[in-house]
Amino acid sequence: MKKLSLLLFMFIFTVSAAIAQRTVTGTIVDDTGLALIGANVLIENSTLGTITDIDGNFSLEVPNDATALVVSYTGYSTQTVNIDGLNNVNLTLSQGELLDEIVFTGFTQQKRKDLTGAVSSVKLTDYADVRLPTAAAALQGSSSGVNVTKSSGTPGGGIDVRVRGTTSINASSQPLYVVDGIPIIDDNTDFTQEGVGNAQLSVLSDLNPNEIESMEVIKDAASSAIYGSRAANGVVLITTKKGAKGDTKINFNASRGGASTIKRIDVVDGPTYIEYITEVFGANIVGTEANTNWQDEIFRTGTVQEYSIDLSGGSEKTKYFASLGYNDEEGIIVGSRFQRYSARLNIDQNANDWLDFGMKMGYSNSSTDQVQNDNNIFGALSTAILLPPVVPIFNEDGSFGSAFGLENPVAATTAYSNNVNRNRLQGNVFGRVKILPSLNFTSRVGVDILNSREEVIEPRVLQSSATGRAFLGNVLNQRVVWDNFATYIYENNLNTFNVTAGVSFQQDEQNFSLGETVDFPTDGFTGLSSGAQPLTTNGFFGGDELQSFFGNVNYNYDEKYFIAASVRRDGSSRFVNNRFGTFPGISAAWRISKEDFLGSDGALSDLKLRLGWGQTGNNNVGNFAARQLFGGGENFLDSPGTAPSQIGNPDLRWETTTAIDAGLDFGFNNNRLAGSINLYQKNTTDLLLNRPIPTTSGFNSVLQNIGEVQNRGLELELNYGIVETNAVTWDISFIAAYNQNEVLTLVDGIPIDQGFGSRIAEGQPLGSFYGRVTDGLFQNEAEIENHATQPNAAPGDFRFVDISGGAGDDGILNTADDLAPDGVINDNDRDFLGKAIPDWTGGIRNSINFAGFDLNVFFQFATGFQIYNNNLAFAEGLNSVFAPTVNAWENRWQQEGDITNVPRLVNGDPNGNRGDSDRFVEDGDYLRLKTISLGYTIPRSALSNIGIERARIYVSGYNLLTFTGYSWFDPEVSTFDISNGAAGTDFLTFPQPKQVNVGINVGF
Amino acid sequence: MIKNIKIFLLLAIFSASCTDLDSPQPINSIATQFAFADKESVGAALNGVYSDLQDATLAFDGWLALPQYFSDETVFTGTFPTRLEFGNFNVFPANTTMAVVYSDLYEVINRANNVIANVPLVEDDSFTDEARQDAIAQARFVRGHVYFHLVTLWQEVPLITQPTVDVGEVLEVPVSSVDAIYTQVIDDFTFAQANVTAATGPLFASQQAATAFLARVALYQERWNDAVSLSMEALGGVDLTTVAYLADQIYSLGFTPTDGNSIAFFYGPAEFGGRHSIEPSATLMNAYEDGDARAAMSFVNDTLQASVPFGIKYPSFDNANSGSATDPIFFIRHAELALIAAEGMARNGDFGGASGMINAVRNRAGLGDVTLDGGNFVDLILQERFVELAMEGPHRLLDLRRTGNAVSVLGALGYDANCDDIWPLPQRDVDRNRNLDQNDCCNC
Repeated sequence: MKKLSLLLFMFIFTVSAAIAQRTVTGTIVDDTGLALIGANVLIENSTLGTITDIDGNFSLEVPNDATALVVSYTGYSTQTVNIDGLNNVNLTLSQGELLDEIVFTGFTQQKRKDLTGAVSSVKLTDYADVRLPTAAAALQGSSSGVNVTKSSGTPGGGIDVRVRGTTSINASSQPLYVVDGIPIIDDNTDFTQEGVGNAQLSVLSDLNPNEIESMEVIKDAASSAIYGSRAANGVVLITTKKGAKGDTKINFNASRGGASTIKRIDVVDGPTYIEYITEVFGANIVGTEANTNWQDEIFRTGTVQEYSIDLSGGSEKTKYFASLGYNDEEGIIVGSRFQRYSARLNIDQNANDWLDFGMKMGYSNSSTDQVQNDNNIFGALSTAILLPPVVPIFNEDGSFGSAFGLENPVAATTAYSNNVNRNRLQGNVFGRVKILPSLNFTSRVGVDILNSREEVIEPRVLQSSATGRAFLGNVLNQRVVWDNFATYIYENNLNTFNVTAGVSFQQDEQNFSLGETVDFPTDGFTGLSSGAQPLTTNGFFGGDELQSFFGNVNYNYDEKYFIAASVRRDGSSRFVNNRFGTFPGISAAWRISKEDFLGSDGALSDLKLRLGWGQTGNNNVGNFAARQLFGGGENFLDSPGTAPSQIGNPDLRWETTTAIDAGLDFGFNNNRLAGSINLYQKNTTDLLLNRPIPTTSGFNSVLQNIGEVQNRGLELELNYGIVETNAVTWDISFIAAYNQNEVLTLVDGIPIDQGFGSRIAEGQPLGSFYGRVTDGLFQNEAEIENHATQPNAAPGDFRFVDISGGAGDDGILNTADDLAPDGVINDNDRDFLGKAIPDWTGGIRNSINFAGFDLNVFFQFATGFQIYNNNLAFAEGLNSVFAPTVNAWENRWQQEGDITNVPRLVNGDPNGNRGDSDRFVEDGDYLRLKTISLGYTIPRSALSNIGIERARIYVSGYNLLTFTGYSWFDPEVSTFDISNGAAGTDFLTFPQPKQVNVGINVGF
Repeated sequence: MIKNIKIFLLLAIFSASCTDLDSPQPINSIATQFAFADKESVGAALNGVYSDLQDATLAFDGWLALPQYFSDETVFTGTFPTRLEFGNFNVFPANTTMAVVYSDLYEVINRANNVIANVPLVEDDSFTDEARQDAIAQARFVRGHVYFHLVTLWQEVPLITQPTVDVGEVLEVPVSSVDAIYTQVIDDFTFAQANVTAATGPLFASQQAATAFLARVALYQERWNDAVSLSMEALGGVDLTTVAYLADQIYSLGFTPTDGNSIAFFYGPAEFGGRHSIEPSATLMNAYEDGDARAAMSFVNDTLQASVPFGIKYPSFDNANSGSATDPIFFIRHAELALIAAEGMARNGDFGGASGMINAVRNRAGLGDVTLDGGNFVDLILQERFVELAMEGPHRLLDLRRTGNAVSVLGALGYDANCDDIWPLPQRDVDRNRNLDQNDCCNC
């Protein structure tokens, strides 16, 4: 704090030395006549000046000897105007020449061309041509090094956003989301733990994309260090729209379309199933002989629609933006739906010559209908694949058909009900005081209040609840943030200097309650209290506090040499002995193209080299993870009990990511061809790792700062204006990112197994798959005899490779000192089989405008990764009652000489053909036509007499084409949702849909 | 405007000093010292020990399914590969279900050790010495029972009698010998036999239950005289024929609707809403003599009721899926004591006494007398234990092993004479504990 006040006073003395003599007033506007708010007006060769108010007006007392004013505005060309003898100056500033886009970088804004770090911007207005299901979709493919994956096709469901790889094992790998300056709640813990698979809601699903002006992704550590202990995974800054002075503009958007499956899985039909089950068990033990195509029963074409209206405008003093939106997305599985109503009001008020204040507040209500899925014998898709087709939809008595305790898919989609209703209020109120012309002080209070209610009703017609069951869960998450910071800006002809310093306080609370009852009188009763037996009541409280001090300095000389430094000191209630951490960052840039030695007549229009270093943290661990605890909640015969619940670790501290970044921005032919190359290396140390401990301790693990993970990568962005004429423009942009992830240190090198076939191990990337290695099928007994001892193997079973005779002295398998293969197939014979993280991700976007038409084509690709297709362990297991795929049935090994990769059919799987092995590891590489849209803007002349200013109609498609060798529904999949260690596993996961929409934008 | 700066600085300082970062406190957990604050909290900690025996994986897989799959009394009919390994007599060290059972057992032990170590430190004048001894004795009873389960299925395992308070090498405990573990088991039960005063059976530790377990230990250790005297003491002259089958409980794991289990879900067929992962074997069903009243209380093999046979020792099929079934797990019953006495007497040559004990069990089931002699007693007692104690725990597997019949009976099913007398130590514990060497199991 002392440093902050010192800094402030220093500036005050520098600027208060002059003596005013006369007053010059004026108005600063842009090319279109719009007032420029906050433009800098400085007396030439002095530090005296002011900034324009909300109407672009300024009033400045100047000494008599002053001859000129320097007027500048971020993103616009600086002008010097002679004031000799003038008392009123009106100026029009033009947009700057090259890349003068404005980007928000934490607590300040900068010109894109002045950036010293790696910041990607997404203008949501660029997406007016497609229907965006959520804001996160705009991040997909728009910025290199930002890998966005939808975990499933669940409407409103989880979206995995990774900025420059995965930096953590147990803490979150997701970026910090900051909306209008306020970090938002990103905790979507599914407290009821219903088996809805990966249908957790996306953190951004509450935001209407139509309310968003822009999103900035801060990728490098030097720039993101200003967010300190939460910035290790990058920062996504979201800025909502604001109004501008002028008449009220009304915008109306509507779109409607349909979502359908990309493909189906061929499962055997009824008669074939009877052949199958007879071969396994000797008879059709199901007993029924229907021929039901379960996938036809659960899949549908879902209706997708969206309507929004917004009003914006303003007077001299007041600017506003108001919007209302409705979004409705039916999933491709019956029973799944996401609806969102949203409203926003943003107001900026200029109170007087020293005070501005305002509010940015968004409210949304969303309703999500979910179905059970994934690793769940009652799941909709799970049973639609696995339930024998010989089971009828309805039995003769009208009840749902079923077998072996599996749910009837029609019951799972129609009788089961699971609704999550969320109300969220997110926003802030701020005041900004002009202490001095170039010194602002801002105080801002933000809130994020998220109330979520989950209700599950399982009537007795379901297999999962013979007597009926109801759950009701309520979650209240609250966040309050209070920021106070000062910004000082100094500019003269050659030097630009910008300082921000502040303090922040944040408090979070999570409250949760859950009730569950069973034994309902009839299916007509669904209320929690109608059940005869209360089964579960659960309550929970959590919270944490964060106290921060931060500051940053940007300086540039002649827009040629740039340097930026920032530091944040965070203190968190989550830790005991190591509460405070300091996170510094420093970066510099050199605009080589401005150097004289390069001349100014060449094709090279821009060349800038950037270098940076920074440290950031990750504190996304449990609120009370550091403490040694004895838990309550134990029940023995309805008497309360306690038990040790956690071995504490008071020495826990933050995970720290130290990164170095280098980048080169370039442009040719007046930036008709422009692009950048970025390189980075991020080392994350002190990983909060659950150190597995001998379970004889009564615990499975203790949280410690042990691990280390490294990410290295390369990013390319290229943009080329192929055609740039008045009639036709054709832009093509290409982005690609390479990421290499490696786990450097684990606890004593001991691997950690996660998911189905995933293992975290030193020297391997996070998300590696692990299991046995197959070497074809045994054709006869002689081959079995000649092979290493493999218990219970028979002809038609997989031959497993004898990899190792066990761990060597280090006690760790799959290391250099492993013992030689021992002629016995057992758990030592497992190896790394692939990885879930792609080597390369990227996209190609084509934008063509011609005679009022606009065509946008965006392809996305990912390559160099695998998927663990655990579906096959069941649908191609050929060992049990589950319905097999046609592929498994027709291609199974039946006799010596059969050349196939599907083993024999055998009851019980004695050889372990279904165990974790490379059989289930498939290449996931894909190229996908992610979005395509064609729009037509109706000429203004045709509209002017009906009072419409602007009208555009469009048709857009989403996921229309996918090129992949992956055998199951879709390669964009993760059954464990956002997972660091067990990513990329597919297990009966709700598949991605394809969509076609028709829409209209109208402006009044 | 300059004068305002101080106000803003104050504002900034105030906002920064809003917190001492201490305010959020957990509400569902407390520090260990508060968990043993007084007599009442010790009672809660003791409930925590018993409650851990009910852990879902332990209740089904640990106490019942895994050893039953690994014998001829039930057949694996589920889909879980890890349980299948037990059904196939082909258990791998990486078997995750086994690893969870093993760690669950040690979790109970740690909870018991916490009570045993902390009770003497409780500062509560109303907590009498006798009550303290009783609390310790109950915890030791549970610990003895758990170690007995461990030593019979895994043989040599780490023997831990202190609560876990620290991490590091102190946790890397090597195995102890079978004898050392048995000695600890006997110590614990003997202490319980002398000191359990408050709690009474069958749902809590009791002096009778401690004696009964000591009788079982003596039988397994082939201390025939002790087996006879301890079992007769625990029986206490009860006339079995006056107590209904399964009502003769000495120590059972109880459940209530809100503290229930899902056991019946796994035994039950689809017709009863069950998963049917475990099915009584034809061998077991055929083992019941005609007229044995216990058959109808143990299994159903009737296509009118279900397409598959199913066990009904845990018959609350309606509430099983939701985890609210209340079927108890029978840890030890009077009938077992009668059969222990019979075996002990026969081993000592007292065939008259032995016949009387076994016939008490048979008569209650509606069967006629048998006469034990030196040539038939092993088989007849084995047969009687098979049907009397069917699906109640690891009895069948352990009886076959200790009488040397495992290979002859189970060999055809896949039981390997060389290595199947022992289950592998879980791979994850071998990986995490440098002092723990894998045992001589198959696949090791």
